Amino acid sequence: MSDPVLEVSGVTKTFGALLACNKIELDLQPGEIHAVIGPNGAGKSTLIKQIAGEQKPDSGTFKFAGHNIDILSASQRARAGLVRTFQISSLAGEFSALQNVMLAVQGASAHTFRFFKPVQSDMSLVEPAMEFLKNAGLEERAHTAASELSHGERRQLEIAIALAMQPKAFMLDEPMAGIGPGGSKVLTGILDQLRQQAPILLVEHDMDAVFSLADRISVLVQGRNFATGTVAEIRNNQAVRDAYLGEEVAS
Amino acid sequence: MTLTRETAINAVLFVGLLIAALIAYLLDEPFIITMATKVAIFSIAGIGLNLALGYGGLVSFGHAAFFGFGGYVAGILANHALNNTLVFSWPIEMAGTNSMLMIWPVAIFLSALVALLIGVLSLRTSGVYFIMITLAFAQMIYYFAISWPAYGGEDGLPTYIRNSFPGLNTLNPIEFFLICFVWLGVSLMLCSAIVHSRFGLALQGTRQNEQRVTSVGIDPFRVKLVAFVISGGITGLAGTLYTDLNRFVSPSVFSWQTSGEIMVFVILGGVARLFGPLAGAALFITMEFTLGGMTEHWQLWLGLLLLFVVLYTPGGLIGVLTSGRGKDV
Repeated sequence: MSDPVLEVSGVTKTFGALLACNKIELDLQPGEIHAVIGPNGAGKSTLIKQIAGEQKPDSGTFKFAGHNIDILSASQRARAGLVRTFQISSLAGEFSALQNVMLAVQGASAHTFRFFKPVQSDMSLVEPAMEFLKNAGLEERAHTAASELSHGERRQLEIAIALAMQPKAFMLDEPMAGIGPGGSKVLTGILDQLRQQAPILLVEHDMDAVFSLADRISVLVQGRNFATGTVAEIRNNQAVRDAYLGEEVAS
Repeated sequence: MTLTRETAINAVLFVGLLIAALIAYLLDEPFIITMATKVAIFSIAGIGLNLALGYGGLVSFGHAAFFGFGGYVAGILANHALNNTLVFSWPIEMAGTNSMLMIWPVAIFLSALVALLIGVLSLRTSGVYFIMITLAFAQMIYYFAISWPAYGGEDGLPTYIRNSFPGLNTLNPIEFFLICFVWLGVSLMLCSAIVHSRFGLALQGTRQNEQRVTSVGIDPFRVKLVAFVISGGITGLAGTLYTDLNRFVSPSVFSWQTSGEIMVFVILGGVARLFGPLAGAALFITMEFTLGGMTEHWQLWLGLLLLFVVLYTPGGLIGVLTSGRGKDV
C-alpha cells in the first residue's frame, strides 16, 4: 500500500462515563472510497467531528498528507485540503451561487483579511469560481440566491464548492440524509464527481449505497473499530454480521 | 434597478443633511445645525453598530461601552489640557490635549481595544447570551464611571470649550457640523469598502452559516472579532464627537439606553443597509424634535413606530423606500 492520505491512530474520546471512541485506527488511501458504518451511537459522528477539528480527542493523533494535524483548528484543516462537505443545509442561503463558490476560493487562498478591494471585481476570485460553476453545470444560475436553487442544483453547487477548496481528501457525513428515497443513484453521481479529485471518507447509514460504492468499509461498534476490509470481506465476516449487519445483508 | 434606486435615496439622505445644515446656517438657526450635527454623530455610531449587527449578525446591546469610551477619552484629555495636568506619568509622561487630531486616533484606538477585550470574551457565545454579555460589560463600565470620582463621577465631566481643529473655529456650529459631516462620509465609505471586500464576503457568510465558513477554511471567530473591533472603533469616534458637541460628558453615555438608541437607529433605518443608520438617526431626531415639542411622551410614538418597522418592514426605512427589495450585498 502507498502512503495513506489520512491516518487516524489510537483516537479515544469520552463524554463523562461514555466511551464514544476507543482507540480507533483508520486510514484513507489515495483514490479510494472508504465507508464508515455502524449502529447509532457507535461513534461515527464523533470520529468525523474529531477528524474535522470540531472536537478534540482525549488521546490519539491524526496525520493528513504526511503531516500531523492535531494542533490545527477546523478552519485550518479545511484550508489544508481536508474538506468536509454535504452537511445538512450547509450553504449560505442569501448569497448567490457565485458568491458561495467565491467564498470557498477565498478560503482556500487564505487571504480573507483584506478590507478595501471590492470582491465583485476581484478576478482572482470571480474567474476560478465561475470556472467551477461551469464545470458543475450551474453557469446560468450563477447570480441566483442559493436558497432559490432546486435540490439538484444545490447538490451541484455543493460539489462546485468542494472542488473549489483544492481538496486532498473529502469527508462526507451522511450525505443521504437530505436526499430522500432513491438517493443511492444520486449519491453515486456525487461520489463519481468527487473521487476524481481526491479520496473520500464516507459515513453513511444506507447499507445498499455503502456496499455498492465503497472500496473499503470500516465497522464501528461501541466506539471501537470492529473490522476493516473490502466489501466482500465485511459482507462475509461472521462477527460483523452478528454484531451489526444481522439480517440486512444475509439475503 | 432597485440598486440604483437605493443609491439615489442614499444620495438624497446624505446631501439632504448637508443642505439642511446649510439652510439653517443661512437662516441663522444654530439649534437646527446642532440637530443636524447630532444626526451625523448618531449615524456614525449606528454605522459602527450596523457593521457588527447588520452585516455580521452580532446583536450587541453594549455599544454604549465604545460610544462612552470615545466620549470619555475626549473629555479626559481635554480636562487635563484645561487644568494643565498629566493624564499619567508612568511609564511615560502623557499630557492632556485639546487637539482633535490627537484625540481622534487615541479615542478610536482605545475604543477598538475595549472592543477587542469585550469581543474576545463575548464572541464565544451567541444569540441571547451574546446580547446579555455585551449588555453586562457596558453596565459594568457604566457603574465604574459613576463611582470613579476622579473625572466627575455621577456629575459628569465638563470640557467648557470644544477641542480644536487647525484652521477651524470648532465653536462655530456650522464648522463643527462640517467636521462631523466629513467623518460621516468617511465612515460610510469605510463601511461600504469593508462590506464589499473579501472580508465583507466572509463576514456576511459567517452571519448566514458559520459552519459553511469554517468548512471552506475561514475561522469565523476571527472574522467576527475583527468586525467587532472595527465596529467599536467607529462607534467610539462618534462618542468623541458627541462629547465635543455637548462640551460635556457624563456616565449616561455608557448607559443601556445609549446602546438601545444606537440599535434603534440601525433598526429604524434598515438593518444591513449601508445608509440605514443615517435614515434611522435622521428619523429619530426629527421625531424627537417634532413630537417632543407636542408631548412629553413622544417615545410612546417612537415605540409604536419601532414595533411597526420590526413587524412589517424588515428593511427599515430604506427598505420601505426601495420597496423592500434588492438588498445591496
